Amino acid sequence: VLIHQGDAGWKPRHESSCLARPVRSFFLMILATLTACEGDFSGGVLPSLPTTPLLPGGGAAGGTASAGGSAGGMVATACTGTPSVGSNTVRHLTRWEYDNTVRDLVGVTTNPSAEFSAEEEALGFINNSASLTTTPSLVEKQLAAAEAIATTVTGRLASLRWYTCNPATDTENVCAVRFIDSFGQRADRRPLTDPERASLFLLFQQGRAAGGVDANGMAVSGFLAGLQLVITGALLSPDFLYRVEASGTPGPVTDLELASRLSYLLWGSMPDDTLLTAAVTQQLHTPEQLATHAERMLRDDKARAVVKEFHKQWLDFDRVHNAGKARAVVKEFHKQWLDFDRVHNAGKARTVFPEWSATIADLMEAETGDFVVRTIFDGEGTWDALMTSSSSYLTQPLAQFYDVPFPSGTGVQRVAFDARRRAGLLTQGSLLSINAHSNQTSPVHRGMLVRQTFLCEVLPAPPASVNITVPEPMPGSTERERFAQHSSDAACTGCHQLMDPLGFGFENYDGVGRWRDTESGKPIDSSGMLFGTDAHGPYQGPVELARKLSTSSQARGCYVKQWFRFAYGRGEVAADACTMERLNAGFQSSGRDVKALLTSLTQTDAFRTRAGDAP
Amino acid sequence: MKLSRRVMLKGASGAALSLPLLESLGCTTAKEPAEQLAKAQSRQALTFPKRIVFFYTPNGNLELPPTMDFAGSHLEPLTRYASKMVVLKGLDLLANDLGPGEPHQQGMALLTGRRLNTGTQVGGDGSLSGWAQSVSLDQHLANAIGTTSRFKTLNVGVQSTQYGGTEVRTVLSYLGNDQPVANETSPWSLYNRVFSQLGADPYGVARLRQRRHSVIDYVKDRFDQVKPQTSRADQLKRTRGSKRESGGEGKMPRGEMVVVTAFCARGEVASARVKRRQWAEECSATGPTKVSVDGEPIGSSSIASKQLTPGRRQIELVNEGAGISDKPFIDIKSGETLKLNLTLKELELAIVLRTVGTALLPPT
Repeated sequence: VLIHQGDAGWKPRHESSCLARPVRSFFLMILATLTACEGDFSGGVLPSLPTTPLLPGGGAAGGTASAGGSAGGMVATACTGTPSVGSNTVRHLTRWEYDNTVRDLVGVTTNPSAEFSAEEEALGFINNSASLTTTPSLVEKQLAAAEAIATTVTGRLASLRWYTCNPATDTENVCAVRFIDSFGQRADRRPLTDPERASLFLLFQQGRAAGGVDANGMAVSGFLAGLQLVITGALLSPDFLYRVEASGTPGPVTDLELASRLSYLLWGSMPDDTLLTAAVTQQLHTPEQLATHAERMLRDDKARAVVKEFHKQWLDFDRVHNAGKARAVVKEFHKQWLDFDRVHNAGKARTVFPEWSATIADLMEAETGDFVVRTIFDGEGTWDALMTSSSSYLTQPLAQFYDVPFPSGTGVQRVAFDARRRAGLLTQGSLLSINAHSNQTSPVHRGMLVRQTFLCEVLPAPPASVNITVPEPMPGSTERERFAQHSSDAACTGCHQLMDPLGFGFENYDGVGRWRDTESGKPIDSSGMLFGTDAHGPYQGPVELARKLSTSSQARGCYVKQWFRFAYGRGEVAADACTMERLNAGFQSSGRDVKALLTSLTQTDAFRTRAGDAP
Repeated sequence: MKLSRRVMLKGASGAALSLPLLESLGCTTAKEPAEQLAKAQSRQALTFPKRIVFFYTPNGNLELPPTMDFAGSHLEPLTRYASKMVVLKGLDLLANDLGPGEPHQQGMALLTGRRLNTGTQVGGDGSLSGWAQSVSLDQHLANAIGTTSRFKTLNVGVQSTQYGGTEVRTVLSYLGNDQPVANETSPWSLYNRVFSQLGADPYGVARLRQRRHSVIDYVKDRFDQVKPQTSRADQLKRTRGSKRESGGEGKMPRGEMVVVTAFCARGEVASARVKRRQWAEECSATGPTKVSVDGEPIGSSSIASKQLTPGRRQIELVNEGAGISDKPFIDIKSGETLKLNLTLKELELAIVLRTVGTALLPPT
């Protein structure tokens, strides 16, 4: 092992035979830097994780207008009986997963990853395993976060339900070993080996000898200082920061690996004790076992009232918590897919939209999150409902902003909109505001939203020579009139006919998502046209467009494809054809139930088997 | 420029930005805090390192001032630095038309002078690209002038998470192929990173360092144990690296023969393949590299050798002709070949440390 030393050109060449090598050497190099003793961090080998080849010809984002197709563009005979799966790379916890995991591990809810550098977005999601990189500042911050968490945890050891220690009867070493055993296997998400236990105990002893400080900078006892180091080390170990799986030949994923796959898919966090126990006892590999756990994990809190005994109450409490975690995953998926949180960046001209404010943006983001989660977990739970529901969940100030009646009560309420004006996701204020300019709407962006996000199409860029200045609003003119150049100029028409006529159908919504019947004194013309796709044809207004899309095989296949990418942290490849086919067929036969889709994601080749080395 | 440590701790913060803060407090891990403190106090002066600053604003600029008089221009806030600045004008951003991706992606590779890799990052128009292919100019220069600081470079960006995360459209700096350097976007976070230990209790800092060393040792072991999937790309890298020789598996070697070979090569030639004769020709100008282990001279390149027991050693390499001097640490393990590359002044000096599994020494 070579620890990096100060000068620039030293490049470590660690020769162990595994993927972790570059990750490892880089990570250590940076850690070494942080001691400022063995030299500075000044360059070196970044973990360059191998990338996953994408669908041939289809491109990363699902290909051209024809590639969406039914069954996600896959041929219908992909399932031959032999498991087939695209290869994956080691997955690094995202910031969101890191925070969730720390919360479930030690109860720290201070958003410790807040200062980590943001993940790179690939294929619309930030958890693409091939794209997550480790940078010097990230490792530095991971170290600082681990130390801070360790300090917090040792300040409230009593709150850890899995840690018992009686200072009156147990020696410090006994307590330390108990802590290491309980904490270590949770942090690593698998039982510890004896050498691992021993090395954590060594760390404890070193920490005890070196001493530490509490959150206020005051010295703490040697025992607590030892535990601090155990926690710090565990939170920097590869088994914690990465989702480490066995290497090598194609075949089934082990029970323990499936436990983590399940928990990060459905909870965005570490497995609970029930899952780990099932895995350790080899009860977590058949499709039925996986489905049973998936359903348990997705279950809501309705069973709570019937459970009486203390132990069951505790489990029930856990279940409520877990149901919340599954909701959080669903919300996270839709947030990344639709980017509705970017409504905060949707700067609006105060002169044009004086009612717009950061508060309204907050409320809009909350509305879309609530709409998604409640529709899926408390409502019909289907894709159709996501696309066509005329109700949403919002607070009084936002209802006032939209100028819709608000029911009695406070806080978030279910608000029934005029069914002729509202239809699901496409008409959410957040998406309408994001996909608009600061002082007017943008049929182009709204058309692109439908094409790229809901139909998984990729649109070409405007040619470099074209003037893409947006026409400014003028008194007496409408948006549709101003964008007419796109249909009269031959240089624009080819592409813009895919977007503008599609986006014109949203003109009843102004640049901040409020309904309007007129613009510049003229009545709104909300007739639109969707060229191509299986939903080809004219439509009138967003409600009709939403209905068309809700029944489109391409749009449904796109939604499934987006879940694939989010759930498995990679793009789909040709070898995943069977997985895609089964997901699409299952989605259709369940009546497009989203929770059923999540369970289906645990049943596929892509979830249960491992590919060999990348070709 | 010289600064006493006391001045620095008093809060000469602007100057301290680039000072090797922790370095000043002593270095060796095994020593007690008091010993480290004494060492730190014995170092009374610090050298102020050279710095170079790159500003880049995308999407075009206002007209640049015709002279270095910035008054009235958008560079006016930089007036007091004008004498130290070079303003580049009239450049064509050729990177904008090269390789994979769309112009907003392509243009960001400007400091690398090469096109982007292919990849899966989606640009504004759906084009796909990867990270850049090679080191960027700023990092290249920092490799030469920034190595005495704890922070070789500080990368700061505005709206660098504009697209939701660190991605090719927001990264200007690269350590090398596929090695982006992410920007710090929070001034507060940057401040904490640089100054958090400034003025801290030296005993506390020393203790912190000691604890971190224990953590590093632990994490190092854990990474050793990880055996995840291999991949073709990884195998490729492994092949390119030096070859691992088979050690006696299961046997604890009692002693190791360390053979240190040092030679130089130009450009990106894989150093290990350079033949001795070629080395002799190319390196005649620089002369041999002196090699010491743990402070004890063991000879000069091209071959120097010493028997060592496994464990951590400090190798010192001095090439007076090339002006190269460094003291890397190595961990001696059974049957492992290590190769170190050092680049300076267009010269790549490759040091090969080859440990051969033997049992020459009596048990320790």
